[in-house]
Amino acid sequence: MPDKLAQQDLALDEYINSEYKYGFTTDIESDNAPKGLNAEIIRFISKKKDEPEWLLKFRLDAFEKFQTLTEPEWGHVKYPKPNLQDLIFYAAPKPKKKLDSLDEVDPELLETFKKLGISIDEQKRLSNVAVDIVMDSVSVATTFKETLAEKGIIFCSFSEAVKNHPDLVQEYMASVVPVNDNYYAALNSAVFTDGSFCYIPKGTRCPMELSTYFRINEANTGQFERTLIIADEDSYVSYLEGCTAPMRDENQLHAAVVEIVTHKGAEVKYSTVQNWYPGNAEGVGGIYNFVTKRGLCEGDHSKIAWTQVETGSAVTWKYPSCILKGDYSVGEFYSVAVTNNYQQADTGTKMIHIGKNTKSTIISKGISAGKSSNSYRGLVKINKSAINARNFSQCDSLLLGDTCGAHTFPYIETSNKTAKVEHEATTSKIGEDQIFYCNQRGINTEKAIGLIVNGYCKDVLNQLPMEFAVEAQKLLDISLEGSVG
Amino acid sequence: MSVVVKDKKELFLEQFRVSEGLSGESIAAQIALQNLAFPSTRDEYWKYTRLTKIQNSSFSIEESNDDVKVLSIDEKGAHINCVNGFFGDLIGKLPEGIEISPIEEVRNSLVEYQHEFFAALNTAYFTSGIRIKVAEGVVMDNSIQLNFVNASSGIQAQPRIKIEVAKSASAQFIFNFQNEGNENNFWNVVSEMKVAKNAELNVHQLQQGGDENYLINTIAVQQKRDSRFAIHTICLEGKILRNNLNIAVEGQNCETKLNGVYLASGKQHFDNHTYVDHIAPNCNSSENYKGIIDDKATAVFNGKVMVQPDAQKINAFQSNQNILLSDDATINSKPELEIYADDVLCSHGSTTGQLDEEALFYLKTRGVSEISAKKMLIRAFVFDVLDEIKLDSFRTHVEELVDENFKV
Repeated sequence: MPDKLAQQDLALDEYINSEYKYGFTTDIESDNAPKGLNAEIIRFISKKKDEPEWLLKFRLDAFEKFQTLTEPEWGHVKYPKPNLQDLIFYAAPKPKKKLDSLDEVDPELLETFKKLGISIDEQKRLSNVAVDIVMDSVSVATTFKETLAEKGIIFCSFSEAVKNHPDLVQEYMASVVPVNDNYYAALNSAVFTDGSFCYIPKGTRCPMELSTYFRINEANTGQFERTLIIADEDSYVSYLEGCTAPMRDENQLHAAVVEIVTHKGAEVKYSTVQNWYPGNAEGVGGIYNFVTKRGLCEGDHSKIAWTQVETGSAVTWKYPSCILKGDYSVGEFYSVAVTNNYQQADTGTKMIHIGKNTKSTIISKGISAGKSSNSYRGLVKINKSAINARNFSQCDSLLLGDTCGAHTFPYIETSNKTAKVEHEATTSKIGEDQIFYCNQRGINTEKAIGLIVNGYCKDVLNQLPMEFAVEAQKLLDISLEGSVG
Repeated sequence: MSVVVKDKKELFLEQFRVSEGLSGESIAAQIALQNLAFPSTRDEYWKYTRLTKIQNSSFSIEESNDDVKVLSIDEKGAHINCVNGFFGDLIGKLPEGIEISPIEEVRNSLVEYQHEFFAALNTAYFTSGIRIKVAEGVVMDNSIQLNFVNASSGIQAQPRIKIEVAKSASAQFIFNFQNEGNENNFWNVVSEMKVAKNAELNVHQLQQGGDENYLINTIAVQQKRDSRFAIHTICLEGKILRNNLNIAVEGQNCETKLNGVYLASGKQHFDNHTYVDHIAPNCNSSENYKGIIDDKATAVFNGKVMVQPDAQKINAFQSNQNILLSDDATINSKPELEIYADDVLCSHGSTTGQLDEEALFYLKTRGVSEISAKKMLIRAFVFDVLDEIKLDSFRTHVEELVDENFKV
């Protein structure tokens, strides 16, 4: 038995010491703004992007509100506060010319994606996925656009949407996440550089999964993405977001805003695989991931489902939420969060029930290893008007090693007697009996742990679209490789 | 804005200051009070409980010698009355090996007053205090009942209690909060309880301090190895009723049990905060709070289980269940786990809902009227927690009270 334990420890160490596989930087010239944050920089960004007057005004208003806000302190995370005056708020790969086909894309860029295993041409040929690549804040390639255009689906970069569909952008931008919602949302509203925009017209079922790959590539670049997804009546879209970032020594700030609006009978499925650089084994470097994601189920019978697999970032602060305003609307949240070394994650969701017969489900699986800290923080709020609201939450934490922490902070607020709210949480390590059972059947400890962890996350992984499920499983496997989970 | 708040806090503190010089830890607590802000809903610890009514009221100290009629729960037990915050003499016979003395000054406080306003307020300006020592090996057959009674209105009462249960002893207490038509009273009670090696302590609280009175009740417990501690809290009356229950499990092989029932109606506001801090390995803790909230009442449950690094083999269980009976009732439940050791089994569950419709239907098909059926189900829901009370007299009394509330 001691041998086995030693073996486990060894395996654990191996896992803990496994290097970040996607760490490399691409040498692309970029067109940077000067360091710092002030109204001038915002004007610079706006001018650089050739934006209309109303958007500049929006940015400046947001900046004004931002200045009245302070950084949130309530999270169960500790980190040196990023010095915003030391950041570059705009960095774009130099536009060579307008790109219509892949051949025109910077070869070096294509190489980067190849290293990441997301070769665009392959994606284009083999999988039926349109990829809107965001590299250092500016979209450089968009595929399958024509196919989508036939259906009337708009899927483009945020800047393009501002130019071509200003009415939609003006109507919906900041309607779900108000500019003064929180410190980082306000910052994003003031300085966002680009992002994705998606509109699904009435009665349309998007024929393919829409996806965006984000990469943070420029040293000292804060990346401020803004995503807006509008699903009109009775439409459906599945949206994928995946991220990997190269190795950096300095902390990089990522403060994105994602807004989703679903009208009557519409459904949006938003899936994320996040694998940004988590910092090295000593906790140096890594991405700060402070994201505001929120969906509004505006119409009756609408549905928003968030699925996330979080394995990267030094500090994660992220609560994809659903406001269930329409009657019979449904919100779902499925999450796997893995933390290792000195990573810290404070993540969860908010389900706000306003409409009648609204329903929400929360499944959260946390896995912590090394010296990391992994917290679930969630709010379930049943308003007085939410007659017959229903919520089920399950938050499980798995601890690998005795130096990490796993925490659960649920807030359950119910003001309606017809509501049914259930919450349960467990924290434990992998059962020795389970490992023994596998060993007995000839599965070694490493593989057994991989198996058990994968099974443990199954509820969430099952929710991912095919392509992502494969990627997510690969990610977990990498984390588990030669090791313990 | 901040200036205004400070003034209000100052005004509030004015009425508590005592003229004589402070001693012991009261001095440190007074300094802490200067630096602490009056709790507001912006503080995580007070998120769901608004205290402005307390802050804006004025209270006076009134020592009373009136003969008060107290509720005797354990007929065989001894009584100590605490009228308007002042402890009186012992009534009845004390078993051998138990010693009661007044607290002259606070030493080695178990209560964390540096960061908690009301704990600091009591530590600095407590009105009266008693220390109860249960000697080594003494097993109390009957309980000691402390009666917290209002004899006038508009008073502030800040009693302080210290209970020390020595090695291998076993003790049981009843904390009885009662009221006879008095209002606008502010009770800020602090109790410290030390449970030594292999000792056992059972505490039973019955809180009926009046629907126009405020009660902030802080209990700090320290458990040494092989000890058992159980507390049963029954909340029935209070305009604002807040229980802070902090348990530090410092030794191995301890058992900790926290049970609670709150029946809130009218405009009552009940807030139960519990914190179990597992510092040592190989311990069990279980927590079970059930509430029924009616009318415009609000209930808050915030239970936190902390497992410190290296506190392995902890089994911690926490459950909070609520039934809402009216459209204006609110429950805010926040069960928390903070775990820093891996070989643990910790879980919590929280549910909010209505009575089981199928069960209701079943009873109705058997000819039970809807009202009777509902009462039956509520009774069953609550009795589940009450069953765990070992002190028969207390359990029977509470069961009767619940039955009265939900008479069929």
